[in-house]
Amino acid sequence: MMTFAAFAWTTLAAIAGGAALTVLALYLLRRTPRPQVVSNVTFWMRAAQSSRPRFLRASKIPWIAFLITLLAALLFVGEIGDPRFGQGVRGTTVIVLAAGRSMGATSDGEPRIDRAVREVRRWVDRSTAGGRVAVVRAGMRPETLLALTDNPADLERALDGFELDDGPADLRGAVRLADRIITTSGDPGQILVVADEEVDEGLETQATRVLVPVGVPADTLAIGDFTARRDPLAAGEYVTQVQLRSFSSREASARLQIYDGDVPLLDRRVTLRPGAGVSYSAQGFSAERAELTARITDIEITGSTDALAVDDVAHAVVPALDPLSVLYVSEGNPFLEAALAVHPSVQVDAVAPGVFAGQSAEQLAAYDVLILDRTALPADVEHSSVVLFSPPSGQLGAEGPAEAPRVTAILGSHPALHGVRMDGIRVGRALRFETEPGDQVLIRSGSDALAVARETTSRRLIAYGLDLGATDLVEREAFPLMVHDSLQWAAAVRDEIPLPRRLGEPIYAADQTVLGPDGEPVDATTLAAIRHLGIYHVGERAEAFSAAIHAREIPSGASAARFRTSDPLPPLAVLVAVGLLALILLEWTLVHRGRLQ
Amino acid sequence: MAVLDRAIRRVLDRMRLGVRPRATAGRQGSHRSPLKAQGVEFAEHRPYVPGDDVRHIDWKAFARHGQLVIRNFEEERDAFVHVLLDVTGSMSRGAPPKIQVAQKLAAAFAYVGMRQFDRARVVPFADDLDDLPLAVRGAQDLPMLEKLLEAAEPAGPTNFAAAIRALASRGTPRGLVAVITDVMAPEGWEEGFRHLGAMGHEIRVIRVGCAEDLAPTFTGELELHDAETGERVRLRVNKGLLERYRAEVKKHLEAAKESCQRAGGRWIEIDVEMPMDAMIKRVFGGPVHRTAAGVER
Repeated sequence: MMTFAAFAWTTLAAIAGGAALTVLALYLLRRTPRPQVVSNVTFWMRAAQSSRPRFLRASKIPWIAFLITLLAALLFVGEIGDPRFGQGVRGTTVIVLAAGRSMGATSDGEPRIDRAVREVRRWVDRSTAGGRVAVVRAGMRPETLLALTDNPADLERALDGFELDDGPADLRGAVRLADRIITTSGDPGQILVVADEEVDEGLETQATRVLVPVGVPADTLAIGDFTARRDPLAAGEYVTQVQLRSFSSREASARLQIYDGDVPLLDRRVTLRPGAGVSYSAQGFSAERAELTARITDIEITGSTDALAVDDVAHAVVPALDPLSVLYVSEGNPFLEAALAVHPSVQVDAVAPGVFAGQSAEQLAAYDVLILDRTALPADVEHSSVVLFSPPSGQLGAEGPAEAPRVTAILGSHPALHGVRMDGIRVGRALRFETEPGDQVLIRSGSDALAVARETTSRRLIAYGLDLGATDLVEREAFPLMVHDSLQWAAAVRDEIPLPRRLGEPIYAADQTVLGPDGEPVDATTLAAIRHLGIYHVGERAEAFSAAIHAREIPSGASAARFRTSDPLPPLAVLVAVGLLALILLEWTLVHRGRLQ
Repeated sequence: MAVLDRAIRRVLDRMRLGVRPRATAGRQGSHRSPLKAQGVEFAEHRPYVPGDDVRHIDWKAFARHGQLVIRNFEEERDAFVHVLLDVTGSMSRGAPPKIQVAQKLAAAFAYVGMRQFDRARVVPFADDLDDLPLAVRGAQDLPMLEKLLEAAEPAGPTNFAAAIRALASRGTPRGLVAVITDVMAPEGWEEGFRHLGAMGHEIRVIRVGCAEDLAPTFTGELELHDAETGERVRLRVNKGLLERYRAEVKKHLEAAKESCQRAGGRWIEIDVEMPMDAMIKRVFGGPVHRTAAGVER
């Protein structure tokens, strides 16, 4: 839309004068007669006499039409000259510039944000011609990009270093902020929203809103979900799951890759039907922290292109295995020691029973779990996690040994025996425990309890009565698994799923240095709301911020009218233009119907 | 003859100019007259009265019926043909100009009259009448006629009534008056035709029209120049005005035609774009009149 608003009022007046002269020239041109010789003018005069209009003097009508046309032309120039003129407001204009992820989509061969910034520059030039302007950045958190000013050069300084957020724009909040700016300025004004999507129609603002849509409908292939967790059944292993989604009405394909640092976990070509989603999983092994990246590349969409790049990458972090600190008290048990040694996340300190007796409560508290092999647990030791193997008689009310007991049942549902099978094991000798209310019998021989798990508010304790020297259980693969599960349960280790964090959330860093995805330190202001996806390092900790949760269809942008307003009436410029056209048509109709001379 | 080329004259050679008996003149000619005398054409029988020429008694009828009857014959006379040629400014309009067509028709009237031994004279008129030229009686008079027609330049206003009054004041003998005009003047026609009828003339009006007069197409902001008076009128011409103008002209022509017919005249419409052959057939065609020489159209 053509406008003269960037010009000064004097220039605008000159243009209006030119328009008036043009209307006058057209009028005079229309009124300049052409000579025509006729046989006798008397008949023409009689015809004209019979067609003379009665409601107005014929000679006045062209003049009236001319004046109305002139007035309408001047109104039109005034309207297109000042964007606020048509809305009946002057003074303050607040431009809301969308800075969400979708503004990075490529439309018409350029990113939407480039087009939007051009629009903002244009409107800032116009608005500062006769008032003040401010720009609100509508990112994940609305903020004032340019405070109220009447100097258009300020915008360039404000746009220095401008970049989009990787998350969605909070247009609603930005419009509210813009409305507050206008309200506090005390002047009437309007809000100009330069965005690729509409603001919620239900949002009430005191100032008039005008939408300047940018962008056209576009296709994209996105990572809709990406998570990773450690495998609870396999120490050191982790599982990742990635979901691809197609936001296109066409068939698409892409190369999907998942990396743990530099180590590829998955690399395959994926084809998606229009609008479909598909999930893949991959496994990795690392006791250390795994920083995972899922990426889609070489995207091919039939008859189209992938318009948005920010949704092609997702990140996740698998935390390092937290090692269990175990105090192993025994006079020597090769089977038990071997079972402890196979677990990479277990740190074992082995002591003889004599040494154990001399340790203080503070020393014992440093260990996550105590494993006592054929060693009695002193009554004054109040450790929270204890695993007993073949405790001396009297511990846990041991009733004495049972000779060659047959294992008749195990409590497989208990976490301490998760996945453990004891079919057909041979036990030469075992202690029988006297159970208390609340005890869970893990291994049973008839009515005898050969192993019990006891859980109180302050302690978890497992006691195995099997004599490890007189059973073939230690030779089976179930034994190290039973030891591991027992340690996990006794230490109350929880298998937490490390979910990626959402963009817009803060990072709590205390006094630690935070490094961004590019390895550069992140300033404190950014920590309040993370805007860019990637893996951030907080001291020894790593946090993945993923945009996958925001994956959605790209807004269609300019599918709406070029300028749209929430005002139910069309802009005055359109009304004036239509009125002007109607007047000219009316005049010509009257001319051709003989109402004018 | 430059005005009438050989082809037109060949067509005209087959034409006859019929004049009603009461409009004939005194010399012997080819037109049937109201007088019953020693003509060639048998008219009627009437009872013999003493004094009649006995040579005219029809003896054969007396032998059959036993009554004396006299045979009457029609007397054939010549006629005066007055061709009133409109040379006003409006005759310059049209394509081709109306005056060119009118000149040819005037020459055609004179030529046909000459061929049947009538006394034809072409009299230009505008708001008055020029001096009456000599009548064309034979081929020797054609150059004079041609000179007269070539000198007839369309100019000036129309006053048909004044022209007819001038014609009457000059003692013009009774005859056929052919008025070749575009009738594009608002007044004077009824009075003129009435005077002509009262003078005993047979009236024949050949209205030469053109599309510009009847159905003009120009529209817009116009300054209309009157071809006769030079008067200028500024008008915004549109379709509505054009329709009303056509209605006005049609109404005027109907009134003129009616006044012509009331005076016993005959009204013939000619368009300048018509072929000359068709024009001549329309002008010289018409009601059949019996003459002594046979059938006359």
